[in-house]
Amino acid sequence: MKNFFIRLCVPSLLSLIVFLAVYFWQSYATLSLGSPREITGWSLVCVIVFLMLFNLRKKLQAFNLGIVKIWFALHVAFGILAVAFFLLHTGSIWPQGLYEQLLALAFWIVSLSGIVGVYITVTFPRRLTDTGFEIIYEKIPEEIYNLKNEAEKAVTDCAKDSGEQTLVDHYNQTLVWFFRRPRFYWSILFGGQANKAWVNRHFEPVERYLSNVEITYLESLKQLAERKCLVDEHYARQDIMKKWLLAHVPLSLFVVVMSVWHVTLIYAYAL
Amino acid sequence: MALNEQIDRPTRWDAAFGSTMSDSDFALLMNRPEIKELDAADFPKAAPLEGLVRYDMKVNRYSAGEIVVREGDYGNSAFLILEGELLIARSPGIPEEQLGRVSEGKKGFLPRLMSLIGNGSIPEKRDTDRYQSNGRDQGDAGARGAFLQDVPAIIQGQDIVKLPEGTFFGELAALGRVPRSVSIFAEEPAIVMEIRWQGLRDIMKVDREWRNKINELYRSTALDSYLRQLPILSRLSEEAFSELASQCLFETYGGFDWHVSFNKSRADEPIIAKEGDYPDGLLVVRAGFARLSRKYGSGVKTLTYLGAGDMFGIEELSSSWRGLQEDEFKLKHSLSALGYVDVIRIPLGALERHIFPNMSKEELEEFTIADEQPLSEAAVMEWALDKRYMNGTQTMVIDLDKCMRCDDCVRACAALHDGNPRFRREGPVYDRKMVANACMHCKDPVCMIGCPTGAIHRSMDTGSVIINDDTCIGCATCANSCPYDNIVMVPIRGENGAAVMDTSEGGGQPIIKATKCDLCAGSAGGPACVKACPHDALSRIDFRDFNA
Repeated sequence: MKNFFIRLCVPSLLSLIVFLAVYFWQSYATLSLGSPREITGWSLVCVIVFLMLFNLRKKLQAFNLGIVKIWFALHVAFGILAVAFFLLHTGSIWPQGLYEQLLALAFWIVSLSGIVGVYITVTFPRRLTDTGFEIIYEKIPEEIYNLKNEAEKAVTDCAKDSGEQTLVDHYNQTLVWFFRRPRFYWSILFGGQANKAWVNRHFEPVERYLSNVEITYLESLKQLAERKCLVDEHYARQDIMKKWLLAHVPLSLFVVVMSVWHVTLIYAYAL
Repeated sequence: MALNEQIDRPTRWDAAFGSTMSDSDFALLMNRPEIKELDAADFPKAAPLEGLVRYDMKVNRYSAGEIVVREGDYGNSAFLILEGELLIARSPGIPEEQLGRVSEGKKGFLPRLMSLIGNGSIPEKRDTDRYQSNGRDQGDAGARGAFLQDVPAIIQGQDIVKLPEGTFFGELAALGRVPRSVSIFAEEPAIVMEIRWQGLRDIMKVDREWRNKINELYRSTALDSYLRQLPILSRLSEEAFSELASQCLFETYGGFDWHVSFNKSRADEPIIAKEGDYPDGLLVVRAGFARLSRKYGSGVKTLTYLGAGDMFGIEELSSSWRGLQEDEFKLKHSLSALGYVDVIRIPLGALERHIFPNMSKEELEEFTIADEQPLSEAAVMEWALDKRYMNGTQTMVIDLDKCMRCDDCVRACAALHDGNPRFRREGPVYDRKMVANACMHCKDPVCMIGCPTGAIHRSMDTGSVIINDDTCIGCATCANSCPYDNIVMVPIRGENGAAVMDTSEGGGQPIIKATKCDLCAGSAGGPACVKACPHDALSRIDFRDFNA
């Protein structure tokens, strides 16, 4: 995290200088009866275009267009600058006029998703590392399938060895729900422990009805459930780590398109 | 459905070592006494003597002043002087700017643009026509065509060694997978046979005399060239140096093919020196790696590892020389071979006669072993050495605390490599660092050992390990040899996107090629994976910097 904020220092300073320059320029324009909105508007357009270039840079890997980590730091700092320019341009959080309000709504959602993205970038990887387990997102369905198979094999073997149906019944009635697919998505995202609590709650009660042979199988089943908890944590966090961009990038594009139309209308009718 | 392209399955000798091998050159080589003494009947059908001579050897004709091999280049071949003589300028050596070193070219704008447009959705697409053009020249091309401008001026004031007709050289770099230790050039026109190391290996396998001769040459060349690089011997007179060199022993521990036992989870670690034993000399690691350890509790604790140039036993020997040895005169640590290790043993007597008397008190006091780390901190070293990661010079390490698992690195790699990434973003994890499955460009690249065509080789310029797709025959020897599973065999596709098949009966089998990380050779700015990471999570490091 420290490293991330250190990388932000120079871009933040740069964006502060740009903001102050634009601020004094538009103040001067106001005093000299110029067009300050035009200055802040075009500044905002420039920053938005620069922010969009980040995505283009990621696609142009064959060209030496600078290191992406620097682009990313600039993207974050200039994202904050875009918010500052927006406020300077509109003079409020919520502008007047339906089209402008729609544009503002899209802009705020993009900004908010950006802030959420930075939060995810800073906190989620560390949480995943702390699990002490690593898995590629695309391999999670296969891992869950294997865990479920292993769990079912354990209860079947238990029934064969002990001649009792207790664990099989408990698995079919309750535990299978947990093993079938990723669970406790939102609880994990908000730092909850609902998955671990669920495992404890549904493994302990059955123990008193089991023989020593069956308890051995219950233990191995519990180990599988604990691993499933880790897989679920990876699923939830990696899912959000990948999908927040699906909101951020298309909405950014939407903001750009709306801004172009906004500029066209302004030049056609207002100036 | 697209029709499969069909090509002949590539074989070892589709591409000869020398494209200019004429019948007269072939006859010249076959009539050399060194070749004549070989019994053709001893060679297997798969690699007959005539084939080795025709396809694994070539005849180079050097003009006056032309450089034959260049110090620091990674070479994959050895040489035999057929006519004339060659010179080595040993000390002070040829200035770097006169060696005519040329950097490898970078991809131009258009090819880069095409890679952006052309990748599409078909990975591993190849122009198969180029596989069918035989006769590519694969020699030590990096040095060919480089001339010394003023030979007499260069020779003046140099310690010159003349290599006469019949001298065999270059085996050290070819067999040891190390850079050339000296530059060799022709003062007058000379004719030299060059043999790629695969051919040399095959001859050594069959003929005992060649094997003994090359091994002995390897040991004596390695000993001499290496001793001259040791700082502690730099002040010796030529006479004292010769006397000391004659007493030194060249020892090899472990096999060149150490990966075979390592891949079977039976990693042998032959003991080089044992804690508690009497130190009879200074050990200097010439090549490979060795584990420095000592007894700890009921086990053995790894302190560090020694690589080329590191010394073992100097602390005990120097403190004994200074009269500081209070307890028994014995080794405080053990040294064991991590794979294959070349060690030079300088006997105690030679040290006492030639080296210690010439060293100041301060210099002698420098020889102390690093302080021991607490167990929890030392654990990373145990883990890494058990996995043999000390071999990596460009190990891909991902800081999982920063990694967003976004796969931008994977996509960047795929974008530059036929639409297919050359690494997998997974691998062993220690604490918060993952060593990803990407070629580490090893100091000792054992993947090169079995390659029948020399397709996998070191870049002459950078030393990174790369695969020549044109000469790879898809035998998978390198992939099976890599102790880290970092080489992947992939089926290739033709221009129409369908898999390329061989021409064998029954529809044929897919043509496969070995692929691995090439550090984005030809692309500006270094590996794309590093450049593409927005979170500064991915780095390519020498293993010594792992904990930095």
